[in-house]
Amino acid sequence: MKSFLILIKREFWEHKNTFYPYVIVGLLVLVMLAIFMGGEKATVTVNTGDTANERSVGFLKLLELSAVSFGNMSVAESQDKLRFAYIVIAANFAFMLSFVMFFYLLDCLYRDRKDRSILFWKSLPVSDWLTVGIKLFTGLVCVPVVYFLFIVVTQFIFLLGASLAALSYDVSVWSSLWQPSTVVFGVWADIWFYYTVLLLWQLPLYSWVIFVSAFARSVPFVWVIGVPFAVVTTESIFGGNATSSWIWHHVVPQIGKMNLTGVGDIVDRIASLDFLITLVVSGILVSGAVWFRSKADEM
Amino acid sequence: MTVVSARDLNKRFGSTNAMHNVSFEIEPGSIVGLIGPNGAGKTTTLKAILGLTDFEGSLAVLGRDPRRGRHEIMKRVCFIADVGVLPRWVKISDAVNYVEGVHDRFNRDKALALLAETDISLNQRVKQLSKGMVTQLHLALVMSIDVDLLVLDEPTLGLDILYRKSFYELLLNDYFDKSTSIIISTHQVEEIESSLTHLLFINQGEIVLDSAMDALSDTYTEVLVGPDHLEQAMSLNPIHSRDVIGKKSLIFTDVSKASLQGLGEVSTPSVTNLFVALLSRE
Repeated sequence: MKSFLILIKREFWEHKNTFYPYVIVGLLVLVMLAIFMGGEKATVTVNTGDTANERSVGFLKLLELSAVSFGNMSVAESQDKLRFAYIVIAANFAFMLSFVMFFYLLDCLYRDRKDRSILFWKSLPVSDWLTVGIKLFTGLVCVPVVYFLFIVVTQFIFLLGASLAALSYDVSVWSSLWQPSTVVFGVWADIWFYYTVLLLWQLPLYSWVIFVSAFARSVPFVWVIGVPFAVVTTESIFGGNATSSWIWHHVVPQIGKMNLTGVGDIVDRIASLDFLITLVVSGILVSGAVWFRSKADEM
Repeated sequence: MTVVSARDLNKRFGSTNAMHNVSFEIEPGSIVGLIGPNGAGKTTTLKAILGLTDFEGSLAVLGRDPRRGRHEIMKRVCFIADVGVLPRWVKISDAVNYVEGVHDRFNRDKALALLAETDISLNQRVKQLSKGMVTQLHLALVMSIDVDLLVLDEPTLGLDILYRKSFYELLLNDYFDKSTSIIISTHQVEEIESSLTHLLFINQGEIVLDSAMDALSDTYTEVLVGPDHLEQAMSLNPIHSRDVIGKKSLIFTDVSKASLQGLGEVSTPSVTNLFVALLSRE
């Protein structure tokens, strides 16, 4: 257990420059949304699971609304508006997270071969399976948890900001903002629900990325994009599209098309041939990553 | 138990032989010098022992094949390559924490005590350290692990003489005891010559000498011969000769010391001279 924790810490020490700049980008995007969309009406598309809803919003507008109109809104209306704000915050960080996971996994078995420190890491009693497993766990679980915490903190800051704005008006901050904010728990549950589904669907993608990280002797980015591109192109020359559509299906989030309403739907999807193929492909790629890691040397 | 037992190791990189039928054994408590010119196969041999490279042949390190359980072997083997393999981004305190976290045989207090004797501060990062300090750090980490075999691959490459000297002093005086074996490859043979118990010369992937240090004097003799006895000495087929101010220094193999006594000043050749003699014979 002690070694498990230190191995994860190690990933955060080494890759903090991969993990955190995106958080700042995420915050900047939110600030820009707040400033430049203030007073204006912008159209944002939100995936709420079954259908894509279009609504108009500005962040400062929302703060303004919260101060002036929330007091006059019905509970359902305020909940709806707050829920939307919390989803925008979450979606923004989730978008950044997908890049972080991609670039972290692409780098995690490549960088120490490039800087020769692999000779140090491999001189310690950590097996290659554990090394690859820890990196997958860090990328697919720990980093998302960290990003979730950023989401929670940002949502809380938003609520505080809205409350401060509301204080100068004659409305009850408690009943107009804090009480309806319980919708945030639903948003959090949704975040983890959809993240789990996405993760299962995109396992082949992430397995492919860590495989390339273990195998590429140079330009991993070119490999990770180039090989699927070559496969898809070759296939289309011969008039096929089975592999291409399978790849596409497991790269691009398809949640909107999955018609998921609950855990039961996930179970149905897991008990399918497509998912079995997903697992087999991912297993082969991860085992391949371990094999290359066991042969890996400085470059 | 034999620490390392290598039988007919082979590895090729394209047309060059990195290891060609390499066989040797390392017994507990020995300090083995692996000496050879650049590209002779030293690093490949050491990496084979550490499970860092593939090869053909049979190799047992502490009874295990390093091609499989590398991580099991690393519980009892430590490795220092030349400077620059410690990750530049790591903080010194984190490096200590990490090794403590993954290695059961790591003694934290010992590492901190060793570091306290250097100018290294726990808050620094490796990239802020000089080459010499990085080696001190690596040595402090490794010396705090209780292992059976220490593998050193050119550990003092690129260091100035003061760091080299203190590196070997620390290693050989404070660390080495009869329960640990050391295999070390180096260019600077003179600095450790007196500490070695065994010698392995390797050239073009082949072992050209495998001998205990104290057996060298039985086999090899160096004689400083003046012009008067030169012809007589040359008739005994020296394997090597070099000019030393007006005289010749000749190295003989398997010629009894008694028969050489009258020819000049008899001694056991230094490792450096023996190395030159054996390699130039090739």
